[in-house]
Amino acid sequence: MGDVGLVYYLYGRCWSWSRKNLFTKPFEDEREEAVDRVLHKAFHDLNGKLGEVKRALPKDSNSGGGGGGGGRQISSGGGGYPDYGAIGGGTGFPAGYGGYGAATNGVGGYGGANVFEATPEFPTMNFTLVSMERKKVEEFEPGPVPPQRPVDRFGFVKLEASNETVNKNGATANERESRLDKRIKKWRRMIGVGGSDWKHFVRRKPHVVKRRIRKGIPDCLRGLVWQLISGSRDLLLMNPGVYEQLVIYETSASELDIIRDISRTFPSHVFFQQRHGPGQRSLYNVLKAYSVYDRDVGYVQGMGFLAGLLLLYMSEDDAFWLLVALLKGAVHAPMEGLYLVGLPLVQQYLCQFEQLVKEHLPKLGDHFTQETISPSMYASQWFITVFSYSFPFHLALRIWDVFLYEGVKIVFQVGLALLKYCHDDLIKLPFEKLIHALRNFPEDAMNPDVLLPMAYSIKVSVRLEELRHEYERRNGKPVQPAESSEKQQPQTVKKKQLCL
Amino acid sequence: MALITQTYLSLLSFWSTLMARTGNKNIQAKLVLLGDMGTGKTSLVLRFVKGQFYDYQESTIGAAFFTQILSLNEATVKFDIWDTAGQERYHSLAPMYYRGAAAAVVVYDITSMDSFIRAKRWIQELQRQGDHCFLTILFIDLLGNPNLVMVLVANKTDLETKRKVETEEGERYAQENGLLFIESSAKTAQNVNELFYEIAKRLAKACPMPPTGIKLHNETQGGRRLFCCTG
Repeated sequence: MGDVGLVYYLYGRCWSWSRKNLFTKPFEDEREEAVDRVLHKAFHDLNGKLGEVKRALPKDSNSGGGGGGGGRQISSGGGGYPDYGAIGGGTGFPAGYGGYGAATNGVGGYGGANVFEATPEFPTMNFTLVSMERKKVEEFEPGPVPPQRPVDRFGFVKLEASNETVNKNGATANERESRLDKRIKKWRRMIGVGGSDWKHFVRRKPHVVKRRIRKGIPDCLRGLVWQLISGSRDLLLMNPGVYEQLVIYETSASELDIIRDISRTFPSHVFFQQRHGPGQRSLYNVLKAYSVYDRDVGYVQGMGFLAGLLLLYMSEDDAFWLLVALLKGAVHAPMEGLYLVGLPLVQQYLCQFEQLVKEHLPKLGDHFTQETISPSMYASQWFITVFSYSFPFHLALRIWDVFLYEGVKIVFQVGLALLKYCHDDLIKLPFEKLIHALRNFPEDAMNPDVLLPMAYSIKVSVRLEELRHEYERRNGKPVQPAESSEKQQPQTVKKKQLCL
Repeated sequence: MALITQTYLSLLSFWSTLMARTGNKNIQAKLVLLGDMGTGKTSLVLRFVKGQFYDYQESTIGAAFFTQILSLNEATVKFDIWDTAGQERYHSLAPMYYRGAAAAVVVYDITSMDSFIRAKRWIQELQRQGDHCFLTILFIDLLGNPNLVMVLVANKTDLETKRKVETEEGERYAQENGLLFIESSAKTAQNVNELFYEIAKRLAKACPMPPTGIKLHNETQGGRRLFCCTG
């Protein structure tokens, strides 16, 4: 066991102690709850520091962070903690609405509260993360890439001066902003305070919801909406304390694997860059908790990208439950087959995809056959990470919006749309160039406002279902795994989950 | 048998015409990288293909594909490189990538004994594959390659202070199993180009002896299907 594992472990322990001492009152309302949830993150990190100070951190780091944090009243309970605000920033901000907003203001990111109140869509998160990183670098060991380098609006370090935002329709910044404001207002009405009106609205006007989601969820509401549409919110509320339990008391055989991959997940994002920083620690906790929660799946390379994407929009436990909702199938078919031994679901999806390519793009399908290209050579990571790996982040987010609401068919649709968009180029290429092209789509193909409408127009649902049956018949038994994989879980979780 | 001889002869004749035209051997070879996660497979390829190195190289999901051309005196070798995901769970995808390969690079990390053990397991698997094909090659398929060039690479020599696997240990194992052995560092670029040059040289020497795995430049699609398509 490496030192790193030990440190993570230690810090998990401390967190539990402080949490038990601090939160004994029942939550008054959701707002309160949200405050608390961000709060316990603080102590989480507080104790992480205590655990870590022993080996790596400079002594003055605690005091420095407190000043930056604006953690005020709350953090004064335990001293100033540098990571405190960072967590508030990294998680509360993008999701910052209703309950979350209150939480963020109460806890305070790195001087971020005032920015937050303005609620602009994109700059918020950007600013938070940048300032967070600057601050931290002064105090701790620097990240692998000099953080002074500019980051894009999602917090990824820019490689070069690339297109920042596609200025569509030549609209001025003002026009765009006001359109955005209107959209956000619409979304807020739809969601209600802290998500209270959401279910009602979805029941009354499902097609309106679908249409709006397909246009993209406003970035400042994304984290909250993702939790609502994926069913993870319900899981979280029904299983209080379970996540903490998993992080703190259980050990997992995958811990070393996870640690080895932690710094290799979104390495160009400021939140995940810093060694043992808040991003990496949250990522570790979520992945470890999942590997305990579902020991049959454990940790599989690729899950980190899912968890990483989620952590940019929500807190650890929210991200964990969303992962559970996806893999166990709270709303849509469970995805755990993507990660089980033998990767059965990957095989099935690839098989289905190959057939769909032949049906929708017959010429290209023939060309692929001739060049002996199979989807496993280019598409397996599309399914395993739902486009969160090696795809432009802004596109991945838009795909995830739809993915969480409509299910995995969007992955097929986007895959087909990519092939369709590049059809005329691809059809001319020989093997090596073809593989290269299939792994490096041109930038114009990656524009969500072009690609996604194209994807929506490709109808796959019926055929997908037929192909699944066919695949299952051919392979003997259904791919969807049996309930037996859940026997390791805490009893409560299982029961509650079935209520879904 | 007749079919195979025929194919072999047609390949040979194709190759000699090509040779006559260019006065040099053009070899296209599929190369696969195997090894435990985080041993530096992707870093080795990136160093070789692009001359780049990142301390925190993103984990490979599924597999990645690269190409690179090496010119030797006696031949020009074009590598089609499949860089695989290292984690055990992805094992089921691996045969697709090593099948029909002309060269296999099995990587371990000198700071991790586990990765060395995993490397040995990969080599055993490849050898089994080779034996199997050697027996069946005449009757069933040309999918495996008994003349596979195998290299055992001990990576991360820049982390000498944290070394857990001694050079001799790797060397001995390689010798016993008839593998090439190289200690490298993708970070400092030590022995990375040498590794691929060595493979290229072996391939050039072996060409046109093994009909499998090595494809002639400008090879027809039929040839590829014969060697790469898997059942």
